[in-house]
Amino acid sequence: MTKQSFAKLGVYGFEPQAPAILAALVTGDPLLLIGKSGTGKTFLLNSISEALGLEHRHYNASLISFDDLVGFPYPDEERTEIRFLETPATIWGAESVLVDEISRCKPEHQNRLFSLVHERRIQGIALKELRYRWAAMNPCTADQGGDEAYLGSEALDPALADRFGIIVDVGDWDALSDADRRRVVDPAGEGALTDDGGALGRQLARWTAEFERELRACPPEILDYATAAVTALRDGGIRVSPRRARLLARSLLAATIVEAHVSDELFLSILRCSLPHRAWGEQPEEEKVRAAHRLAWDLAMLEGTDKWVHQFHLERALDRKAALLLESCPTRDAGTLAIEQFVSLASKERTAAFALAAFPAAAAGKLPIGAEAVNDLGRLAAELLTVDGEISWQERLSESDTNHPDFPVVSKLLGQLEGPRQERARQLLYWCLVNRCVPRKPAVLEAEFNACVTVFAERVYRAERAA
Amino acid sequence: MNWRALLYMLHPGTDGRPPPGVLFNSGGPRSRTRSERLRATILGASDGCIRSPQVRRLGLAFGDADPVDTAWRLLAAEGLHDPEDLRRLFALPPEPLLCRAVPELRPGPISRRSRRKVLEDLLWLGLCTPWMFDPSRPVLWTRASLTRRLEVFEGRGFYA
Repeated sequence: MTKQSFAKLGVYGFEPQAPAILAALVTGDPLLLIGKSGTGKTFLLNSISEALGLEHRHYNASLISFDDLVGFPYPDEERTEIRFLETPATIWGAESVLVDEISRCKPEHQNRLFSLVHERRIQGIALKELRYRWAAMNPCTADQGGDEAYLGSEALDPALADRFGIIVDVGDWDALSDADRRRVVDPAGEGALTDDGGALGRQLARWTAEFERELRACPPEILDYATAAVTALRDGGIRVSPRRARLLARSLLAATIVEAHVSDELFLSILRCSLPHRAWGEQPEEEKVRAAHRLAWDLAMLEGTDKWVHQFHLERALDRKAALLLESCPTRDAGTLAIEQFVSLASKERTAAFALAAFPAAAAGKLPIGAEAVNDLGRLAAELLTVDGEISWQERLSESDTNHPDFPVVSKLLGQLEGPRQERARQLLYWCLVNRCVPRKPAVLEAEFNACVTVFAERVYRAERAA
Repeated sequence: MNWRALLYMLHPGTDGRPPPGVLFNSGGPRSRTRSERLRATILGASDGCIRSPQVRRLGLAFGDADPVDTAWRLLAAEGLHDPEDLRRLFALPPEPLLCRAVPELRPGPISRRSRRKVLEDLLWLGLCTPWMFDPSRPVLWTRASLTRRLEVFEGRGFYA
């Protein structure tokens, strides 16, 4: 899903960078794209703003004057305050801002942009609507390899560069796949507004809600990783600020939500995109970055059984948990520990969904878990295999024949399903109704539950039948 | 006593007028609580897409007798010394099955059933938890396990 997110907007070749860019959209932290001219940086960011239906401003920092940004200043009637004459181009009311060619603006403008990027303020005035702060630049003069020189693309002030949560290197023609090259070349659709039917916006809203929830108790593995990685980078002579360490943890959390899994590669790519040095013309040594990542990854994820249990918990998607359990659980004890911890820590409805999906296979002895874990799953699943309870709700005296407020949503969803999927979903959603834990988006939980059932069905029973 | 008199007692000198900021709930509740029973099961279904037919109902009424003592006495009367020996007498399903606790099940007293039938149920109950029947586990006779009332179902159909 995430790999295709930008292709659906008509922007190609950003698959490798998609998790990092989407993570920046989830955190709302400033995003900086660095790449050669004509590589689609501006096109991507403008397309995202169109797809999200944002009130967008696109400034070219090399041409802009400060009045263009804030409008022409004039005193108010009492002559006590300065007001600004607004135009469609002024920044007031903007939800997203793209500062293009940020490395080409005058130093005094860079200072003024600092508060915009850092604190969503301009002239000390808060921009309350501003959600996204984006910038793009060519590689700066000190950082140009190859044969193309970008005169006037100056190194960013490290203090400004350090405010960008994610800094993405955008690939050139050579980085594109054959299929993407053909799509990029194809002029069809040029000039059309980007419209994915709101898919990106909806997905982003779900991710953001999950991010804000998780942020209250960031998984310790992410904190361990960020702490260890920053320490190791500094030990290797690559200075990373304490602020950057915090941004790294936020970006890692968002990326794991976007990708719905935790992997070595994902953490390494986010670590790379969290290093601002390219913006001021330094290139951190790849070997040192890899070494810091390896150290942090091993420290955070531990080894052997413990490492697997950590991975099981960091996996968010229920179907991926199921696959991990079936494919790589090292021992029955590890499987038991993972299930017991999951049952005690996860939310009620997610625990119930996993228990219902897993218990029939667990009871049949098909899962690598011990009797205690089977018992835990059974205790939960028993309530779902047969749901029998009462739902209650308030009804105004002037009304009659009302329904439980969640019931129409659940009924509509069940009406859209059929066959065994519908029958299984009914058990889960009725249980949620009885236990007053219907999620805000039941369809999302049901889809995840169904994916989890499918993993058990295919990898346990269909494989058995095939054998 | 009307509310004006009550107010005068509480706030003498107000002439029965509510002091500023004092409001009265002059009516009954403006809403009522509705409730509805919700019941759904996929256990026992043999006509839906998911089939998990019932295999057996289990439940023994021991009356005033101790369930565990009674079980051992019946075992000895059959000439056996270990509950595991019952496996030789009765065929068991090879695979685990799902169970549902049915407290409302009212079994007849064991005195009215044949010893063999009761022993077979004792074997099954010794292999059950509240959620599953597992023929591979040891036969455990405890007061809790022997007094369970259960329905036992096939579980494979869940992944249809």
